[in-house]
Amino acid sequence: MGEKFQLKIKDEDLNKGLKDFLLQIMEKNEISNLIVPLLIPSKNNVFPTFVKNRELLEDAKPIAPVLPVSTATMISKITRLSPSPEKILVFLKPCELRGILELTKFKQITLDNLIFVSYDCMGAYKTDFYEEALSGGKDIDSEYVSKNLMKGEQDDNIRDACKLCENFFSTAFADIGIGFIGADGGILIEAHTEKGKEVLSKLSLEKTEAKERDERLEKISKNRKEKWEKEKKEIKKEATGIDGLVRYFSKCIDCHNCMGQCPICFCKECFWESPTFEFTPLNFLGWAEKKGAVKLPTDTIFFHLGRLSHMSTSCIACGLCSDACPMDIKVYELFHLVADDTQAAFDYKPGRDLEEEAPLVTFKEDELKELG
Amino acid sequence: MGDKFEPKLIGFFCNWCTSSAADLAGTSRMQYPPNIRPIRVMCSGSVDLAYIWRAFLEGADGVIIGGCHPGDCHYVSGNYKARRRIKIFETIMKTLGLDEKRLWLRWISASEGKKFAETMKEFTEHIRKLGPSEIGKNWSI
Repeated sequence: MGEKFQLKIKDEDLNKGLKDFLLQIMEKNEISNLIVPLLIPSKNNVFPTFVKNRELLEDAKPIAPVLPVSTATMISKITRLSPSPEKILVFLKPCELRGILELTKFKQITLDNLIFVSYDCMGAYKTDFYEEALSGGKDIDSEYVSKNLMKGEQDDNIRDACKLCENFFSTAFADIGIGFIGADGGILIEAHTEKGKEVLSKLSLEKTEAKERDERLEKISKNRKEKWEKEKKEIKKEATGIDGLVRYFSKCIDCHNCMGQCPICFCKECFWESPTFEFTPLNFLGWAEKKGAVKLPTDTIFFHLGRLSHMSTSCIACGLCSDACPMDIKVYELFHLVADDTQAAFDYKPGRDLEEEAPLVTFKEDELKELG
Repeated sequence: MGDKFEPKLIGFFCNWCTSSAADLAGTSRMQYPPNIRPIRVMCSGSVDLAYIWRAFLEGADGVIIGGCHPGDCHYVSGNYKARRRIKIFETIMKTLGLDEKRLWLRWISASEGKKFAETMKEFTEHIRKLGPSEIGKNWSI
């Protein structure tokens, strides 16, 4: 880990303070592009936004506690075909950064010229809750900062996935990390990479120690891990065996929204969207004959099992699948449960290290002998 | 057949090794149970896990994947990749309580006709003991 610095914010408004910090980075490092959560013109939601005109940054909400989409998916849309010719500073949540790492491994993102700034995220609200608060003229960001962010706590309205997130702090993969937890009451700035160090070296920042930070982060992670282990048992009870799975996904309408929002499901030609699933009457006659009946739409459990097979080893537990579900199925919980095990099978943690190859794209000759 | 449970088994056998072994077993007139429905694939590494789920969800009582021995893959490393996928499949089955014992992975080379016949016998008896699979009975999948 690199040196730790203290960021002094004159104003009480953290969003504004961080925006000024980002602008300072851009100015000193000759970066003219920024991707940051920004209030949309209708003022009732915040989306990651590619900003060129700095006047528009008046509405920048870097720590806005909302996750309508994953910035990882958005960065893939920008850099999948070729690297950006210009430097882009990207401010994003740790889960989004983990998504970026995985998508980079799958060659869906070109990292050149991207500089990442992430922070200790205390979770996001559901998009409709956040939208409602903004529509009602509530200063929900400030409330979130004082009630959650600065205290390292989470209020009840935070998304379920965020409440269980064990990797909520700026990871080692962020070029620059911004810390609030164990930051001695201030705001901590830390460079995790050479790129980050170079960027920070051009700024005049005051050094700090933040000795208690690691301990405090670990404590929060541990608490959440314990909570998750408890919850896991409940889900296992509920979704065991084929009948349990059918019950768990009983509301599934086969819309595939969970897949559409999943940052890991990047395939342009998804198997489940392919002509393989265009059937003839004979298929249905056969199924109905064999089992006595066939539920319509069919292949819903098949879809979820298949998606688990394809992407669970890289699942970053962001919870966007649950957010996207129009039927409020707890998709995230079940996927997280399975992902924990498929990832452990290969001692793999998505979003941990760019050098770590995804389990499905590599192999070892000398492994898994018990299988054959 | 009467009331005796006859397992419905699906085999995905690679073209170069296990399918050839099946041919050898046949031309050598070796007997093995007719429960197995072999599907020839070009490589065990080409078996997407979706095909295995499909087999189970449509009523297979057991699925066996047959490939070349490690180091002998016609496409160099397909069987190693298959092994990783099977590990994932097995893990998902285990986590979700779907009876992972119904899935086998075996390496059977083109010259091992005898091993093929014996493995099919073993697998059939193994599944017969486990009884019919619950997975394929549910029509709401």
